[in-house]
Amino acid sequence: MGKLVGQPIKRVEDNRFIKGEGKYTDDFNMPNQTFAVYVRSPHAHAKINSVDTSAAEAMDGVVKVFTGQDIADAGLAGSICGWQVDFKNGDTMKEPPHPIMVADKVRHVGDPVAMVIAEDKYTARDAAELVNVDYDVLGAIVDPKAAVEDGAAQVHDDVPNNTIYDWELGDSAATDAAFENAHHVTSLSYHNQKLVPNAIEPRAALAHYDANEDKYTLYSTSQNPHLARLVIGAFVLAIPEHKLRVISPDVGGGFGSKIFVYNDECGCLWASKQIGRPVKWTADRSEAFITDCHGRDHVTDAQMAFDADGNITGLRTKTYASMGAYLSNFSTCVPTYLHGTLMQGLYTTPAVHVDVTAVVTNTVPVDAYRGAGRPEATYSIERLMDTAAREMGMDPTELRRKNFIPAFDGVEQPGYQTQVALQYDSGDYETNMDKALQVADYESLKATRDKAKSEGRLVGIGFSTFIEACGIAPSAVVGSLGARVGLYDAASIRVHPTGKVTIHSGAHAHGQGHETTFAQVVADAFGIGMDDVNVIHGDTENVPFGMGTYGSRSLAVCGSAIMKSVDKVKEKGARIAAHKLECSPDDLEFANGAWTVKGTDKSVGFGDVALTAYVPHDYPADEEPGLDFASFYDPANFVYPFGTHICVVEVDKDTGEVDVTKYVAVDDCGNVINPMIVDGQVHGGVAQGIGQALYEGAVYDDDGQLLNGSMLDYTMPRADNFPMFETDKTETPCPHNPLGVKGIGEAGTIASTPAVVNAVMDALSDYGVKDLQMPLTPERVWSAMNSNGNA
Amino acid sequence: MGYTLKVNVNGKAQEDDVNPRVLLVDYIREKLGLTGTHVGCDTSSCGACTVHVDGKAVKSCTMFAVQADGADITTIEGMCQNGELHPLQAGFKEEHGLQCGFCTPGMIMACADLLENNSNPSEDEIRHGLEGNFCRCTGYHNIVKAVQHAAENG
Amino acid sequence: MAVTLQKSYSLNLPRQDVWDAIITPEVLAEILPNCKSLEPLGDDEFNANIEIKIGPIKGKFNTKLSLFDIHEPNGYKFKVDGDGVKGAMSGEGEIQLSDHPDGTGFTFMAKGNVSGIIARVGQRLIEASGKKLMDQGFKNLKQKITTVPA
Repeated sequence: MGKLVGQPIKRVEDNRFIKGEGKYTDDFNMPNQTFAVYVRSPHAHAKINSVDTSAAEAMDGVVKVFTGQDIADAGLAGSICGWQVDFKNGDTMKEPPHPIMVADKVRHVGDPVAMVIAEDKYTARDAAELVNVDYDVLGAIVDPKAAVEDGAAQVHDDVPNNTIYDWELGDSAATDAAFENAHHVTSLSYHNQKLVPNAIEPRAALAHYDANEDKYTLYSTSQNPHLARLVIGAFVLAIPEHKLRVISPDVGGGFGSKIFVYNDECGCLWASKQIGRPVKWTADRSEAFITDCHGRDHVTDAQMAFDADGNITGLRTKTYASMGAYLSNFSTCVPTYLHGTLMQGLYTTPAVHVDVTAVVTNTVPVDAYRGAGRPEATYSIERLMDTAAREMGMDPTELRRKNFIPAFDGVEQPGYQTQVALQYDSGDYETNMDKALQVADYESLKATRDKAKSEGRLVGIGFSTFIEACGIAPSAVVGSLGARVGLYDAASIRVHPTGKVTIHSGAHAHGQGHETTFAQVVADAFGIGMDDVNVIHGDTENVPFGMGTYGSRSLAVCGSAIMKSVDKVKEKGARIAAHKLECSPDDLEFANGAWTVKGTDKSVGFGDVALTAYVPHDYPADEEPGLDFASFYDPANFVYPFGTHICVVEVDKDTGEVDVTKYVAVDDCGNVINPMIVDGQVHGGVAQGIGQALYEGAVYDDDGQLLNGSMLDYTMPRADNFPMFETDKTETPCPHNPLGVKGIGEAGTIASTPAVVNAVMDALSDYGVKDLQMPLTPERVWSAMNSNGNA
Repeated sequence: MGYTLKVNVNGKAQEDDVNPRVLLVDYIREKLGLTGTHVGCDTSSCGACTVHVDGKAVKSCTMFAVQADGADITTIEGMCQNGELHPLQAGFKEEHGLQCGFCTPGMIMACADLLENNSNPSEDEIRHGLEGNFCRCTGYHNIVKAVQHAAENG
Repeated sequence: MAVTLQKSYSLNLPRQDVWDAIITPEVLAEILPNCKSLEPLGDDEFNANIEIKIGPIKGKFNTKLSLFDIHEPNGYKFKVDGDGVKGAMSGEGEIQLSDHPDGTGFTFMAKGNVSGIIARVGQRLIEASGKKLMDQGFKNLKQKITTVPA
């Protein structure tokens, strides 16, 4: 632990946010700007016969109306998929086009058909209502499993049976053999329901084409401005990359949904050039519901095989994963490389087989949402574990203890090779669970539960011992698996003449607190104060490069790039210091902000060296002036945080309402830079996971209408849905990155959902209810309690 | 357009010609340039747009600007007094009651109204008091602590 | 999403009087939930502009209304089909007149489908709103009949 690293330093960025002085995309304006509103399909699937824009165009204040036909005429490609997953038989993945606006056929409610640009947003909205689109409504397909059946509505003409790919991982024959010889098999079937991310800030864009410089600027709500520039420049609009600047200012939450390069923002950029004026677009919430990529939507059958002693002998799952109507940027890797590869869990299961069929449906596109694939995998494994324990009459902790992978640090003991491709870096799962049992006081929890049950109250305890793979990702590995980008990150450190430091971060913070944690790391490394370090992120013109923030990667990947730059500064600084101290760099050690000749009190401070680097009057020969380094870091492996979450619920016997009464999360994310921020990430993640378990879920009717497309209708967790969360940690350092850190942004979401459902099932154990579909609404719970002859 | 609106915003008298259909939040953000008040939904569900109108917390996306005629309005920008943070602003920072910061101004304005009516709320009262405001980042844990911090130090 | 509306009322008037009213376009325009205008297109066919307000959502629909299975003085069936920016609506229904101790029984039944934002935001409210609209329509009808000179 350093002076700052490991300490709960208050966040630097809060100073502006608490005063309302954060600057989000919609807070920016440009002279002469116009406002765009998209006209979107009310139908899930329909042929467009005609689009009549005349009334809208005739309206006072309307600048221009564009349609899907204009986009087609301009020859624009539209958004792309960034990950190719081919069929089992080697056939290439189906990749239907995803135009900025459609001209021929709409494929989900919300598909854009026209764009109205006006002098102000009220006029644009009024005029959008005057655009008359004539549709022939077609039958729709919503259910991922039914989508592959013959006769199902075909979302794209060139995607037979709506199948994008089928895919498998693991040893099918060995797994089947394990099931044939099993003493006990536990089976579950469920819909890991479609979720709406609902970052509180809706997506927005302010786009400007400057004809004089032939240059485009896009302010947007992106988690990764450089990736956006790359995709928009190289693919969607074919703009030379040096002529496109993407700025992601403060961003009001992402949770995955703002990773992707959406057509809407690209449309604004294109339109700005056409009309010669800046174009601003801000989604309203209803629009966010039908355009922000949704998450999950897996229909899964899962089975776990055990021997007579309760050892897991096999695991197999079959999943139909919906991509929605089009392939969003990373949609295809979520159910495969972020899901199938996690099916080892933290158990020694000797045979694992995962089978996935990815399909298109007439619903909003699906892509990574907090956890992305890992929550689905964890839900499968951890629901099976608690269910199996109940079926076999074992304590769920004993079943886990029996099957845990033994501790390994990844240094003395090698990493753990799973049956499903990954090699875990380091882990000590049993110690972590024991810590959680101690924090929760499991023995007394059980006594409380049993006493409550004897009094006729329904109390349950649920577990989730999870692992996830984040710190995404080694480029060569993901490249060999079909990724079309590298997943390194970049950061530069600029030491100014006065010894002050600016970090240019390729990661983008939208709640994670990088301006604080990155400064902590660098300030400690140089022995300077927090105030001496500034973090810049979110602007392709000011930050050399970066791959953005998602997959709990910022500290593990960008933090490592920062540390590489730190090392370069220190190396050069040592040469300058050695010159000043008339010794060899090898004779120096750096501590407390100064280079000291070992064993002496002769030293030169960091600030002195910085000044010398910029005023190089007395300077080493052959040394360039300046102290400014950029680095790229490509991780050697994923990082594998893990933990134990314990949830206690009480179910209201009369109403079926589930109350989370206690929640314990003991996470291991390796070394901790700022425990306050780590706890905050866990709280938020757990809340989102509880949201999935109890409240949230996109509801579609058979026609493909989203029936809960507003915050009035879609139940998001509120403050009074939760108790105070109890958090603690174990620290098993990552052996392969300089800070020894893993990731924490998604852990809570990955872990909590099965813990909550397991707790409810434990509460209902006397009712013979084996499983319930999420969300566990009072109606579903009550109905289950009152069926099975329980009424 | 044709309606002359007179309001007092953060202690400053304003007089503007506004279209009667303009929402209070649009007036605050676009006409006055006070962009600390945010819009997160269209249905009065999220509370990101909460401001005080004559001392009471109001969702400014659900009110026309002209309905506020003659009123005293306080936005998040008016919570700092003489460079001193409001106890809630200090509490949110101290207890890590925010992450992305987007819901924070509305949260602080709603919490201020809560504390105005109950200077020493219990955890339950705080949680119920915050029912009208969504936060997607914090799980509300540290927001509750921030309000408790403000109540103790206010 | 599918919507079903059904409600029965009674009127203190002879059945023929009620029939005469409901087959008259001007009166029909009053009974149809939130019909803003009704222009005859031909035999038993109309262009109907319908404006629906449900909760926070207001939408205008240009619909084609046709009447069929017309059985004087027992009732008729109708079909509505139309589009609007806030979505699309389509449906079929029936108005039945019957003997009733008060005079004439009046039953309004409709099964419809709505899409777009009304389905997305209004679905929890749509049937309740529909009932309110039917009540309003019936009230309008009653007023219209009693103020029509005999």
